[in-house]
Amino acid sequence: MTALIMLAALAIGLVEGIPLGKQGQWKELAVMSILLGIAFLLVMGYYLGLPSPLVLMERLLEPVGKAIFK
Amino acid sequence: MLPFRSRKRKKPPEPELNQPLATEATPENQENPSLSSSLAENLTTLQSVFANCTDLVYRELKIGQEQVPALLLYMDGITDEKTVNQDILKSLVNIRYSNPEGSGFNNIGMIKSVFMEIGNITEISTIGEVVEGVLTGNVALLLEGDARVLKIGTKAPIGRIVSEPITDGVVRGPREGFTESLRTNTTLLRRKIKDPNLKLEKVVLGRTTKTEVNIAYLEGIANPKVVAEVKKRIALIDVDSVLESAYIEEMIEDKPFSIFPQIDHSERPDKIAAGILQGQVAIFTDGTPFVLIVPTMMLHFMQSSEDYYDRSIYASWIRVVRFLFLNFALLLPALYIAVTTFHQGLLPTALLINIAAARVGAPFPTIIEVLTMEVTFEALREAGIRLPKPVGQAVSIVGGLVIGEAAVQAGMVSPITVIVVALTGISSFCIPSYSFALAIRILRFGMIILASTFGLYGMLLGLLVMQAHLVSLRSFGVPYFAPLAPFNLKDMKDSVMRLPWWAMGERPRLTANNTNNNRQRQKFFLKPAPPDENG
Amino acid sequence: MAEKGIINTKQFVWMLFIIITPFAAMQIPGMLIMQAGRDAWLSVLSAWFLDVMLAIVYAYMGLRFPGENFVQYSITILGKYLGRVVGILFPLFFLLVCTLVLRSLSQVVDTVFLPLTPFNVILVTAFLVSALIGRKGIEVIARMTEILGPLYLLSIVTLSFLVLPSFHIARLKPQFDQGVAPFLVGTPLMLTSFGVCIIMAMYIPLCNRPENGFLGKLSAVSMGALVVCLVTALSVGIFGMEDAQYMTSPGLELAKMINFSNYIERVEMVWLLILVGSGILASSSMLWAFGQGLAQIVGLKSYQSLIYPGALISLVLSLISFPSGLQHTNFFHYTFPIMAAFVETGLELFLLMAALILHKRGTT
Repeated sequence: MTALIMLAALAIGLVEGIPLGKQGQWKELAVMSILLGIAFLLVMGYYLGLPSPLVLMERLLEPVGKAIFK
Repeated sequence: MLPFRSRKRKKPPEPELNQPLATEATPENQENPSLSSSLAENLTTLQSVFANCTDLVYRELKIGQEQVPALLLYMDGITDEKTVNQDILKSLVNIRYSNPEGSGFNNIGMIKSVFMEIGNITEISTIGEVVEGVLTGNVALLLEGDARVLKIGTKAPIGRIVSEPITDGVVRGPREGFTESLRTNTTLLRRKIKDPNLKLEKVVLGRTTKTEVNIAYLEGIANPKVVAEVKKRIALIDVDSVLESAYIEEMIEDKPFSIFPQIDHSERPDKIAAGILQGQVAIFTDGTPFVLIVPTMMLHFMQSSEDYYDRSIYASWIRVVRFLFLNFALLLPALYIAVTTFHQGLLPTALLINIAAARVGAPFPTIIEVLTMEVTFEALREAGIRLPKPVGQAVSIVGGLVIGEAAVQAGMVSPITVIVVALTGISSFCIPSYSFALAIRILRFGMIILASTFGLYGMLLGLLVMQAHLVSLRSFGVPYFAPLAPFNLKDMKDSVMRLPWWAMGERPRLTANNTNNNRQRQKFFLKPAPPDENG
Repeated sequence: MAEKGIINTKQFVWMLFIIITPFAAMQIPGMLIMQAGRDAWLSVLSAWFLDVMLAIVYAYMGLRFPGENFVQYSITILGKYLGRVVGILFPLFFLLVCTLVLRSLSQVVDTVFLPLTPFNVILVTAFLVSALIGRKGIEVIARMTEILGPLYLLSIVTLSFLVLPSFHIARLKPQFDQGVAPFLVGTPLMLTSFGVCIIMAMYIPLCNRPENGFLGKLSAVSMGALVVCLVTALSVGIFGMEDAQYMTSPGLELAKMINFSNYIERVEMVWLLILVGSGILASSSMLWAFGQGLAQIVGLKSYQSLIYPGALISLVLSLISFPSGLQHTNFFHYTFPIMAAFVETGLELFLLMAALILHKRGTT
């Protein structure tokens, strides 16, 4: 799965990035690459056993939620 | 609504074509020399231009009392022989009048204004214009001592007579169809719309074919932005030949890679006239009976001109049936595959047992069966269209009856698959527009593949993507899927339903989107009612 | 110019409707019944009322800062740096909602339609299609909702009529038998899912008539509330409170009740198709809002190139965060409402206060 996600990130980067580069929209290209990098990091983190940000959020907020809701 | 999208070109258009042009003397690649006043010199130049053109006629004659040498130049066959003989030659020979100045400035003018018994005459003065004039069926009159030439219009009315169109057949409605001659076609239109606001603008396309193209619209009703956009896009076309309106269609459509046709065409004058009357712009091309009409919305492909000649209840019913079968044509094989392979629970038990019993012993999975049958059907269809009529019928008999029957009896395919494929084929004949039906035929295969991988969910994904594409299309600034989305209640009166004529007081908003808000088509409240007995 | 599309009020209504319903018609009724019991449908009504109150704030802010969405006006109000920090929370929230919606939709597709297909494949296709639609921009989304929205409403009303014979009003009684506490707890739960249509703040600047923002939202949320109210009331009235509260999707169970004289069964698939379609469309809107919001925070010229990367992040999140459906439901139940309440009401009220105190206004 990790490899597939990386492949997808690469494909998106090429398909979206090449036109951006051609039009000289470097800022767009940078933001897009950062987003792809985040996706990549998330997958790598999962691969290495780090918790996902949603899990962290859950740990933080779930006690509050459980206090309110049944 | 978005303003018109500008048509950006990635590279500036190449100034010259790669192909060699047919004649050396076209205005584009020579500096287009003016005519000289010596007839012999002009003759040599023209002879070199028209070398080896056997159909060109040089008729030398001497006119007037001074016996001024003159030359008539025309292409045999595309000019009207009768006009050349009876009107032009006769009037030239009959010149007994002597010009006081001999050969002078007035001569051509005199002939034009005093002697010639022809309506369509222009004076021209360059070799290029002479060549073009002669090639488009005019007679050129050259005179010794005058650097101008008379271009005398005598186009021969060749081509077939007006006959019933082969596509777009109707049960009730006019039986005339366009022909290959542009002028005949515009005449047919003029005879329907007798209004000076019906404008016909001439454009000549194709460096070699010099095809005349006319842009027809009703001024004051058509959207001036659309008219301007049509002209702009057509002006960008720089090709060597235009043999059919499809050449133009492919070069002016909005999304060239879309699977859906974005410009409608018809060979029915009444359909084109109706389109022009609701604000569309028609593009006539010489040499083809098919006239383009823009802007086109998807619903136009689902409408036949007969819808307007039947009573509105029947027309609406037929349209509903057509929409139902449009969905069948697109989805039926896919639905069959999805239901039988993935979601047997959707079927009533009795039907499920039937299908299962029919499939006993079938060697191939359903998807293979359906795909083979569909491809065979496509082949049969193609074979039936191209072959001569008697042979074509034989093909359809052999294909439809013999192969189908034999395949079922041999146990290669299950009978239900044959039913599904046949029903799909008939459904796709319910779509009035051939090109739209083609798009649906192609999409059907995509749907089959999606259904065989993801079942109903795959079909849903396919439909969503198709829908997103459909609503993103626009044809000359008009949303393609209108008036369904963006929804427009006023335009819905002529969409899936067709309201009676007395209820359609206004022209459609999207096509007749003109600046002066001239939308009213007729008097309102024309609904017929029995006479008021009290009054 | 990031988004050139213009939407009209009708489209605005359907877009909001499409966003509320798939979200609200799947797990939420089950959770709500668990929380509020027989008073669930009352909770829906009070949540509707509160959401309309909230809509006033959003509509007012949309008019106070004409032509700006909340990402932009949070920058206007709070300045370049703090404004960006606050503003980015909205796009991230939308990305999260997209993750949750598509994840639960794929779960339903997996159980109902394609039990043999791997779950991840379904998830990927759903993300792919919604990114594809989202990238085409707001006009395409708006026009598609114009087709799917009425279809959805029609299907759910038909569904209600068809199951009505099994409905027993006695099962809905008595109200408030355990005091008002369940009802009060149910209200915020419902409110947070109605509240997803704070995406209206992204749409208002693109409306051809921004002043209709409130009315549009009112009608959209009323239709949405009607749908959820029908589903909760009917499922309690038909299955009884005891059964309904443990259903993952009471609406689906309702649809399963339909059969036409025992001949055609499993019509729920057709209903689900519409539901899944609108869910995918809703997540396209979310992805679009994410791309648009992020592009405005960073100051990009175009947002289109951010849609696919956004969808990828969302996909990765939904793949790695929930090892099982139970965790997903738990997240939905306990964590999401807190966070949603914070973003939907807390942030916006904070922005309103700040705007009032700092006397900030949009430039006309």
